[in-house]
Amino acid sequence: MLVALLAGLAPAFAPAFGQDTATARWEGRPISRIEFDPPEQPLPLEELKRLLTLKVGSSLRMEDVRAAIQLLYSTGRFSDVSIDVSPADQSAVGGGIALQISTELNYFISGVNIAGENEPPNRNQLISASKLELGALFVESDLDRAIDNMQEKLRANGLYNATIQRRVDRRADTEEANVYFDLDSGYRAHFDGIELEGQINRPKDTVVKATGWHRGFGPIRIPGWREVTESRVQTGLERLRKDFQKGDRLEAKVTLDKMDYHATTNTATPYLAIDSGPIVEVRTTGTKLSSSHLRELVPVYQERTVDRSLLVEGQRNLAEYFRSKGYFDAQVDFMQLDPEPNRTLIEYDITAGDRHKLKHIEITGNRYFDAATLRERMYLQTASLLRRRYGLYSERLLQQDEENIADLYRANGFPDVKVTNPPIQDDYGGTRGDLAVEIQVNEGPQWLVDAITIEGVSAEDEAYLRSIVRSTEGQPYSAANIAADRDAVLGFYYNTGYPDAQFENSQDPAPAANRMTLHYKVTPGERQFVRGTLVRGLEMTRPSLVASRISVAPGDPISQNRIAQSQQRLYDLGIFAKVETALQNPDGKEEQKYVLFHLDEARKYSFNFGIGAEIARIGGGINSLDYPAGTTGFSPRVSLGVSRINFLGLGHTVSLQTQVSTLRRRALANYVAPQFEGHENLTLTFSPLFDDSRDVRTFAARRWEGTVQLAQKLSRANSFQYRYTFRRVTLGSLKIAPQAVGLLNQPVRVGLIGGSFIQDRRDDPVNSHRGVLNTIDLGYAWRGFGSETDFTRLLVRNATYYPIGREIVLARSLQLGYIQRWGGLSEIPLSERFYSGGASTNRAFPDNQAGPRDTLTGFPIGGSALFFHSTELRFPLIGDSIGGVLFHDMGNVYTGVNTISFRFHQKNLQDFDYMVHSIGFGIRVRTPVGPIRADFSFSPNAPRFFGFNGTLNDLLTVPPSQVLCTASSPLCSNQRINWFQFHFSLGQTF
Amino acid sequence: MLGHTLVAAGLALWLPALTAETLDRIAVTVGQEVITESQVILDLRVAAFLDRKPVDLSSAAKRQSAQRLVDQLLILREAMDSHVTLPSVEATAGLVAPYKAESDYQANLERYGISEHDLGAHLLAGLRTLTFTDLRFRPDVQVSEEDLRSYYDKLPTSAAAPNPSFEDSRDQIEKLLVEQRVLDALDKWLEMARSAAGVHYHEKAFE
Repeated sequence: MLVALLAGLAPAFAPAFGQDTATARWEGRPISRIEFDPPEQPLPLEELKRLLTLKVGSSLRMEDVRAAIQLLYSTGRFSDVSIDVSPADQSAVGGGIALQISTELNYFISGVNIAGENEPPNRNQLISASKLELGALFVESDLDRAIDNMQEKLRANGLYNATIQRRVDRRADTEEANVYFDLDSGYRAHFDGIELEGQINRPKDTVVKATGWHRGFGPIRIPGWREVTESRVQTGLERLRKDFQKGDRLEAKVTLDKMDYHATTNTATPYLAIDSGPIVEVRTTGTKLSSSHLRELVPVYQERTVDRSLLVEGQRNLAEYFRSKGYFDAQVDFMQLDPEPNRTLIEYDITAGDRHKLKHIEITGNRYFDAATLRERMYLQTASLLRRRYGLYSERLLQQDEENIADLYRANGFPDVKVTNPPIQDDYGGTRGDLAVEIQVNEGPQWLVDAITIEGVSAEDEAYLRSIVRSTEGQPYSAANIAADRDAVLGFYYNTGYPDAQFENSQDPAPAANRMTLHYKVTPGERQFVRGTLVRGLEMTRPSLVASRISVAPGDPISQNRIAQSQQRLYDLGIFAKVETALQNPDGKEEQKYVLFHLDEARKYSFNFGIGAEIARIGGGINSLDYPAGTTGFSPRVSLGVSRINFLGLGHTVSLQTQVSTLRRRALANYVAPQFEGHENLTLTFSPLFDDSRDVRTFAARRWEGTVQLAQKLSRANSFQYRYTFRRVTLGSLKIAPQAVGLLNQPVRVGLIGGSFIQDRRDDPVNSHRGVLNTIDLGYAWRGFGSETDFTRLLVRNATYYPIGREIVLARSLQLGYIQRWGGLSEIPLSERFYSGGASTNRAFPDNQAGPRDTLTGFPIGGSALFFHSTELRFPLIGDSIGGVLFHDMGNVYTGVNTISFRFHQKNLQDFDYMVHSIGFGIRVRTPVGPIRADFSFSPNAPRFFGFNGTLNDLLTVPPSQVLCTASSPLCSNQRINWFQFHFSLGQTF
Repeated sequence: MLGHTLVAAGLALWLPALTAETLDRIAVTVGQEVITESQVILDLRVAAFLDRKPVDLSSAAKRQSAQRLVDQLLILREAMDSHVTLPSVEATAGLVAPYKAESDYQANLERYGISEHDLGAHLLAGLRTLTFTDLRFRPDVQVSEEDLRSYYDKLPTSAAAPNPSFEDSRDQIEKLLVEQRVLDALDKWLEMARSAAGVHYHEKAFE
């Protein structure tokens, strides 16, 4: 008994020397049980057991205990871990033991939500200021910092009294912390004046005016100050700096020292420190240069400081500028003087020298690449008639071209390539000032890959990797190819769940000459899988809609590509302002991770309003029979639209667009279901339309129409549209022979099933340089579809684009149309016929003026067939943004398909079935929304026709027997479409 | 009476063997790496063994030991990242040898509850710290003539025991100043490394 007690007592005395009681008592004893506290852990029990170094049945070792704590903590899922021990059987001392692993959970940010913001700043700016990152570890103290940062952002925007309440929703099962910030922005402060410090040299009023912080319209000041916003403060400071610069105070410094807020008046006073600096005058001698060019080329204007390096850069830029203009011998020197205190004079002395023309570029020694391939990569350009009259040459450009050519060779296995140039040849071909440049290429031997080894990967992966690397046997050996291989290999592993994959490469010369053996070593690292997806931030949107767009599933290897694709598909729904994705617990060492999607739903409603005007041959003849071919007219236009996105949370859009002008009243509603029924390539649209227009000058048409259309995208280039349209059209104000009015002015009901096939292989739909566009549109109206008349309508279009050299494009377009009546009404209704001609078909005509005309009034009455062909030569004209076009259009709208004719001459004034030609010249001005187009055309065989010399009442008095005008009739006069036409619009012709 | 007291004391110490107690827990985390309470205690035991003193398991001592272990961890990490070669495990035998020669070596190890491996690891960590400090900071330390002179001039003087001449003291002062500056540099770096690494102390381990 005493021995036992002493044995028990021993540990009590041991600490004095250092023996640890706990470890000594338990180490070496068998583990009978391992439990977790709490029993529900964020990781599945199986995964936890796999992680642990402690196993039931094995003896307890302290190093295993430490390792277990380390491994559990490394998962990132726990903020604290401890391991308790007790006997498995309370009655047995020295028997098996039970371990209890106690954990405390970590939480990760699954969303940062802002409510009550008063822009600016907007929600995204505030989230960004909070510096809380999606998926990152949530630390309570970070919220205080986040609020401080957001408050600072709010204050910068004049919201000094804003208060922020915070709330965190935690979910233990997925360890999520969803953070909510509720803002009460309060009233935005106004400026109440400006305090200036420093050397200003101008009245304070001009400073105030320059900032734009005081209310006013241009030069007129009205009482009161504007609201404080961050962008207004920055813009004001920038405007003030520029204002100083205008007076040659290039080094003027304007800084905001502080913003003094007055709580009682909710106003703020900016304190500006201004140092207007010396007057810096930059001028040129020797050769003239516009001040705008000088400001562009001499960087002291942009940098707002004068130092030698900037002056040297200016010298170089000026020399380069003149050399690019053909003054290849241009020399520029500069000097800096201080003629009087507070005044600096910078004088650039420019000796332009003779103007040269780069007439010829010769590339020699190249065998592997032809000269055309090399020329494509060169900046140097020989002189051309229109765009670069002197060509493009400078020493710097020549040097860059040599480097580019050498890089191209190196990337293709020519590591020893040398690209040089002998002295420039002046007076080339005996013409004074003409230059010729020769570029000599010494290729050296080409090195090829003899063999490649890939280590560290499975046989299956190796087979795949061999199929994607560029450096295969017999291919050029180059650093560029190896770098591309590295990207391809790592890309493969990153997208198959190996985020830590590493790639190393080495190479050995092979026995054969100029051959290299490549060795790729890949270390994939630990594979990671998707534990699940967490979608947060939804308010209205149905979760099933979002789930159907996410292609990341539990158990899949984590793939950045798939996550990005899912993000893109969610953006494609058009209902989210922001789609953020992240891995939860990104740094944690765990096998499976949650993929987070935080969605910020866009505003439901958007409105648009537009005012515009149309100037074209649309004038005259609205209530008279004057100008059947139109005269220059002006039509103001107002449009208003509203759209509601994410209707019923389904991602559908409902919109209404209205337009009112003197020629048209129109209301178009749309219900669009994109990615219909989860099919990414299907879009369903319902479109009711009301249209009351006079775009065809012969009549006013009131149209009620409903369309349902299913669009199917087959591939990137090909798509189908299937549609059913039902419309009722009532015509009024008909300007045709009274005998025909009774027949043609009846309301017409048309039910039409149709489809379109669109094949678009153009490089750029807005401004195409190469490719093909084909469209086929076929419609069938039949009584079975609710139509009063039966007909088929076919419209086919083919356009092709061919580049000629680097900058010229030859484009052509063919349109063929045909309407065949099968039954019902005795004629094709006026509203269903082809009306064409104008800016996009044949520029010999004003809009909708081609084809058959009423034989009495001369107004167009449409046709049943059309043929148009256009050819355009598009070329650069001035600089990079203005281009020119030479065109030829031919074609017409015909009475029927059997009357399509290529005949040049019009037989008589009632013959319209002939081919109308026009030639012309156009200008294209490149803008961000596409080219602005102006076309001038001349038609040598523009149609002539009879017009009616009378009023609409006079027309009613015409005897029924007279349906044709004759030259002898006093009521009729000879008229014609003007030989010259002018078209102005947006976008290329086709 | 003595018998009862002994029985009561024995039961008090024996009972923990039948009830639950904490075997180990997180003491400090450095980024994703963990130093456990048992590692801290082991460090204190080895230190006590080396100093021939009783083990001090007070909160302050534990915290001091934890900080030392954090610093060693940061140094090891930095050495790996910057490819500085530190002494390998093979150096352990040489470090342990002087202690091993002592007659009561094994008895002392047992008394302090440590193994030879624990002792070797502790000594190796110390050596690695010294090596890292030497390789990383010493080359950058420079002591100018002016510094030496300034230090010498500030030395306390007394008529009874005059200081040796500047030239005679020069080497000693230089060595002293270099050591001081190397340690300053190490402290500065450690301070920076600690804040960058995200060191978090779990208070329960220091109660």
